[in-house]
Amino acid sequence: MKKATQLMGIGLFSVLALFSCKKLDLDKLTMGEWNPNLAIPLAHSTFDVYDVLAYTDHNDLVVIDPSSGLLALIYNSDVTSIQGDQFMLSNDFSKSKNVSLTDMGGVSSPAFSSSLSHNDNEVVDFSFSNGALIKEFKFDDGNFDIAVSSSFKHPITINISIPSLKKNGAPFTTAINLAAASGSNSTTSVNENLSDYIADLTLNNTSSNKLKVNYSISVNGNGNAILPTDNLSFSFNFSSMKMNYAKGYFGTQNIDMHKDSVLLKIYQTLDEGQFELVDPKVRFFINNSFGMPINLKLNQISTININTNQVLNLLGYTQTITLNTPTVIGDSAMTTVAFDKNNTTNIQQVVTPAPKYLTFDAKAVTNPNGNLGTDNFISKKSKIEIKSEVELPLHGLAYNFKVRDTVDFTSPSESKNIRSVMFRLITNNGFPINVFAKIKFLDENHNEVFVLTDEQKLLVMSAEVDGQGKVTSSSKKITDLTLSQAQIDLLDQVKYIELFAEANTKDFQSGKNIKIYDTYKLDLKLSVQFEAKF
Amino acid sequence: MKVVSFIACLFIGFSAHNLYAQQNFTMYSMTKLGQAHYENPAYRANGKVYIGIGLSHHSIGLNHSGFRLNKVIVPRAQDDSLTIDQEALKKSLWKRNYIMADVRNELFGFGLNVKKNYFSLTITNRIMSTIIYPKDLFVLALEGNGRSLLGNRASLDGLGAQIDGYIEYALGYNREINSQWRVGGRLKLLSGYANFSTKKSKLGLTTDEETFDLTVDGKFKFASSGFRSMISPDSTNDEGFDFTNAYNFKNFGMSLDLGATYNINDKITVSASLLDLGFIRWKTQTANYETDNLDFHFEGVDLNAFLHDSTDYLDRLIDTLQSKVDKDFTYDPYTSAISARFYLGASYKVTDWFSAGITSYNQIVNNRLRSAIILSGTIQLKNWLGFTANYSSYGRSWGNIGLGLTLRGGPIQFYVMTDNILGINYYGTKNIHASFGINLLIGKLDKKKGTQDSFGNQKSTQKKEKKVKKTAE
Repeated sequence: MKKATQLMGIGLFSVLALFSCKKLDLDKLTMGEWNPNLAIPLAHSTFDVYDVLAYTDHNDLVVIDPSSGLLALIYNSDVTSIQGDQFMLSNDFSKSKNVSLTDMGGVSSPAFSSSLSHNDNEVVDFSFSNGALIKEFKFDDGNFDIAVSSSFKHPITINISIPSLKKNGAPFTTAINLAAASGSNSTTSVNENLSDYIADLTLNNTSSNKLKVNYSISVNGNGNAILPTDNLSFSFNFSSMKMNYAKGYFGTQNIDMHKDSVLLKIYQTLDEGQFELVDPKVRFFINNSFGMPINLKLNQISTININTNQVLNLLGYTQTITLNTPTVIGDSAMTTVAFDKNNTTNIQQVVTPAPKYLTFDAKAVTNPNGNLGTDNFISKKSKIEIKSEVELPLHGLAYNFKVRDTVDFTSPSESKNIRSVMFRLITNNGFPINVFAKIKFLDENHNEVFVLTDEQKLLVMSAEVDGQGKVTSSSKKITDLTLSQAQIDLLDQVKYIELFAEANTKDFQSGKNIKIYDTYKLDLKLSVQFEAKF
Repeated sequence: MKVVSFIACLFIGFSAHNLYAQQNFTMYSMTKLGQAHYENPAYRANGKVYIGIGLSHHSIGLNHSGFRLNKVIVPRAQDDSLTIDQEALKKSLWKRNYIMADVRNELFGFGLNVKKNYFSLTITNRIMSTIIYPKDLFVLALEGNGRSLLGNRASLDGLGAQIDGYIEYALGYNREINSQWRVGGRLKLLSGYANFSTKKSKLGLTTDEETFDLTVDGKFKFASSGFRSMISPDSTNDEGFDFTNAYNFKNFGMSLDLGATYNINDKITVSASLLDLGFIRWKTQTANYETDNLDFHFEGVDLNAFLHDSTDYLDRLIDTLQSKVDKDFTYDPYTSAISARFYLGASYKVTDWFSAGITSYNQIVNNRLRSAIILSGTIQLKNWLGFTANYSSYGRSWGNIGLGLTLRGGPIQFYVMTDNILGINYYGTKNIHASFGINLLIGKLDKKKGTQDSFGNQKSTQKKEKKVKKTAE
């Protein structure tokens, strides 16, 4: 019993001792520094040749050798001449005719109750631009106005017909009834829309630009007097004529083609660079729907580097090209001209300094050898289209391709909670191209605050190539770009980030030519690892 | 920073103050207690009639298997402030850590000794919860994925909770088979009112060492009852907690306790019990959720797709993520198992009033066996005073000192006990537990037939009874 009491006493003492243990004062609890380290993937992508070389328009990149997949960059531009309805214009004109009582074979009478008739014709002359001699003319639009004035105090009927002016095969005819004059002349007019009328302007194959108008006049006596001075006058007005088509001879004319240029997009964002291609080409595809002999003269094909203002003229090529012509109205004929290293003397040098544009100036001349007796034709839609094409087969070498860009930068407010940042760029490059980069952080005056990378830091390493310049294996490169605590502290001063990049083909120094095939790819991954501080 | 600090402190504080569910190890040695049959149905109250109403038994136990508060909160070098030792915190965590709570409230208890038989009826509120968190959850929060987890899988496997709340209506019976054997059992009808069961939890985040690509894998599934208003977006205001589920058996369950004691000889007794072997079928206010098998690989934004259509790309990315986890809740009934546990014990009677024992406690938590070993010494002075002390290793804590005291005056029996008195200093312990209660014990067991030994068995001879009486005096 005593022992039991002792044991319980010991237990009670132990409890009291425990109550007296030192306690933690949690009111004094503060968090120590907390530095989580986070690793996060930011972006990834696999870029194929189209993404790399023809991002804005995949059609710029074309497989020129289907068996191997060899690629070429092809840039196009189109220029179009004036159209036929601007080339061939018909001038407005008017023709008048006065028919007296005598012309009609009548005599004066105090009271005329019988009838009087007279038949005759009048030839009207059309006038076309540049003295064109037109044999057949189809109107797309136009007005034919006939105005009649009479001093006869008798009703008159006038029938007008133009056998060579037909619409749907039917010649033009009209009848005009003129009331008896009373005090003043009696007048009337008739208007005809010329749309879809076809005019034969040859006077039965004897002439051109002429149209004969037949008319018959009947004076119906009403008992009034006929005076010796009574007469009848016509006027034929052709106006606002528009051509649908025309045949004849259009003469020797210049057709102005606008000066045109081809944007070479691959060089568009470059500051500088050299591009030595093995076999560049310039092509012109000329589509002509004018039905007449035409010579096209290509004046001064040049490249322009807008960064250096360097202009290089293509030399040694044939400037004048005789265009193929269509044989039927509405058709067109294609003429193709290609310039390459075989028919020029300097085409490789012309594209080497990474020009931004290729320009040319063209002029067309119709019937350069005069009238050879064969009718010309044009329609209102006839035109000369020139599609110019620059083909840059991706076989050669490139170096010193430099791009520089400046982007605005605002220091994130969270940067004070960042201890260090590391950007990791992983590339697996299937292109035979090295890419170097440098990143500068600038203040508001564009002064350097700090530089993230050394000069010419290799970011993307060229793939390996064989003796033919074809890639045999891709190259992997891991690049860590670290912002230290000190650099992060300077971010508040940074207002701009200046990015420099330079690309060179593999072993360009030794003149190694590489080839770009459609199977090449570039894998890119960008990740970030940062250590926060709280 | 303040938010992070607050969350960290909150979690640590929660962990420290919600230490793990002790399971009344001490009571296992206090065999004369009216509630002893909760731990072994072969035990019985030390009176002809036992009645408990309201105050008869209340127990709460908490355990945190992870860290002790005083190991991770340390004085700062430059002043007297306290700070969290992140390295110590990480070192003190196990791959999988448990925060367990166990609450038991006896609402009504009745026991009747009839000769060799003992009948009992109890109504008890039970709340058992286990929150499981993996070490990598803390590692991820403290050091991110860029240090030790870089190139490795941050395993969040097992993250989840098991919460059971129910009222237990138990009918018990035990009988002395002979002078050596006493066996008993309790059949319990359960009326559940709250459950949260993490059915599947395999989640991992792997960061590629070179590319930092992130891969989320795994699957998460849980079922719940009684929490719909809290967790289901489809819930309505009238779906709050329904207390009638405590007695309407809409969430019906059954469980069984079995126990036995065996006197090897006059000195040595062995015992065993198997407890809470059962289930509950949850039907009311269920809300169940299951993700797809996750295998989401994030390599960063696809530049090509982003540059072509940034808005559409981001929408598609978010849709892909959401389609993996943004699943509709289902509201089907489901069944959950009660967390079964069992004791194995042996007692050696040193004197008639003092016995020493060793007990093994085992519980199946989240399909894993968690065990405790308890060494105890018990003093029983007649019927009026009992005192027990024990040492236990439990919940990854090696030094737990348990104490228990029962006092009886007339028909009133008062008791108080703890499985770990060191829990008073809760900053330095992983386990906290306390039980207390007041029982009404009417009558005494028939002296002619002997008193109970420390395991509740009747003493076999009148001679020995006299000897004990004399010794105790």
